[in-house]
Amino acid sequence: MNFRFWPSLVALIFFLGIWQLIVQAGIIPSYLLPSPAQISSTFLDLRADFFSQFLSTMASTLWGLGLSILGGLLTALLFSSSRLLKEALLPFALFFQTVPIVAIAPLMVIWFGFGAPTVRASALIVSFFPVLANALVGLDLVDPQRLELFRAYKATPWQILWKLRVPGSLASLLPGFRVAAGLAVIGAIVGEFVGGGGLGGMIDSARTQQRPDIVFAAVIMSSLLGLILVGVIHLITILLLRYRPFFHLHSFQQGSNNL
Amino acid sequence: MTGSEAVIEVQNLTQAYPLGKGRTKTVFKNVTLKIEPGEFVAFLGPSGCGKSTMLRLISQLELPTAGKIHLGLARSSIVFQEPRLLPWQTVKENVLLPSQLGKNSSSNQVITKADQLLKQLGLTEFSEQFPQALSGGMKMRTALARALLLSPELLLLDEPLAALDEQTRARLQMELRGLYEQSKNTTFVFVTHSIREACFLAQRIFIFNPRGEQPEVVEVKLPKERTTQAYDLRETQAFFDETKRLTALFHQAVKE
Repeated sequence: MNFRFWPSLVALIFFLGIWQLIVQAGIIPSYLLPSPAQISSTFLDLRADFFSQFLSTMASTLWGLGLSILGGLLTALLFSSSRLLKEALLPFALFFQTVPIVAIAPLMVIWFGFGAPTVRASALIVSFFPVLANALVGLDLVDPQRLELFRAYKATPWQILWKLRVPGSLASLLPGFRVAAGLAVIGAIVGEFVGGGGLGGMIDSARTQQRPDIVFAAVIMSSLLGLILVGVIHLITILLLRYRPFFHLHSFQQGSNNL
Repeated sequence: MTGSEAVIEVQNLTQAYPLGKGRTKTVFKNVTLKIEPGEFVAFLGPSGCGKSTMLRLISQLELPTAGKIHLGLARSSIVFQEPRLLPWQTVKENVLLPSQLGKNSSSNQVITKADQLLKQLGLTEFSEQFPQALSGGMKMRTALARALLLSPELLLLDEPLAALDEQTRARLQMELRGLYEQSKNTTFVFVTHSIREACFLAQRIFIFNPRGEQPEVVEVKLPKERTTQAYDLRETQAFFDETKRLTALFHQAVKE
């Protein structure tokens, strides 16, 4: 482990120790706040359940994220090829983004029924907009001097798009994917609250059984899922930049404050 | 002047930009100039007197307010003050870029030409590297190779060496003049505010003035072969005398 993680590791152990003591001393009753030891033992007892629900949530998240990346990119390309279309539809996309996912999740159940389709749709809806917005920003980021160079060589609009705008948009697009990955996990969990299944379904049924230990374990698992997805996107970015320096990694790491 | 057809004929050209509130800024008015095939011409003048604007008009990146520009050739290319390379493409890919734009296509012939230009400009060992690993001079060499890829009949250069350090600039002046002397009938138009640079590179100099009036034309009285000698022409008394004469003419021309 890298040395720079030691301070936060020590802080974590300290924090968990205090938590354990507070619950053991009975300052907060364990039916409200289970101790770390309790949460761990619940997790170990139910590990088969946790793993299968984790995989189920992950599958739905990846479905939603994949579709939103595909759809967001295609929409952005469409918008950048037609100004009229962009001006006509972008305001609706902006409005759509402000609709809280929790409020429309029940509608998903009505449309898609209980189960995976609702969860995927919910993950798709929340992660679509960051992909679209960052792709649009990226495509517009084009350096005017390089654009002039392309014009001087009589480049067609198609050539300007594929050889200049698209490669140049990656600096904004990849951080967009990362934000979308984090949001897709949230979307999937919310979808599972209403549609059932996965870690969200576990949390929801633990609520009815008054089992905060299961809720805590499931929450930790879903955070882990978000971390894994964000980490994978970061890894892909690093490998891509090693292959071709589309932009400086430095600017990518600074962008992580968005999440 | 010879009777052959000019490469560039600029007639009564006026360029003005609106400043808002009905006022305009006139860069130059009623300028007429003629550039012959195979010439090396410099546009010399202080900042803001329209020499870059003239180059951009010739390259059709801008349209004139009034007047006519006649280009008597098919292929031209341009080099800017910044190299304007694509950071995600290697040096060689950057050089090959013009062959992938417009209606051009990358043939084996073009790739051979790119290799030859890379060698000529000392870039062969960098050809698979990305621009970020290159010095300013190497980046500009890449931009030059890119501009020469499609064997242009007219090469427009907009202060390409202005951002480089002095030693690199002197070396690239030599290489640029060398490229001109080896080229067959390529016309070079070079924008600069350095009298020494214009004097070393060009055969004829158009001195632009801040009044926006017709530029003064001066012939440079130096031999056509300037890079083949064992000595550096720029260190000779003849060159020193010529820059002295041009400096006097320059100050006379740009006087308000």
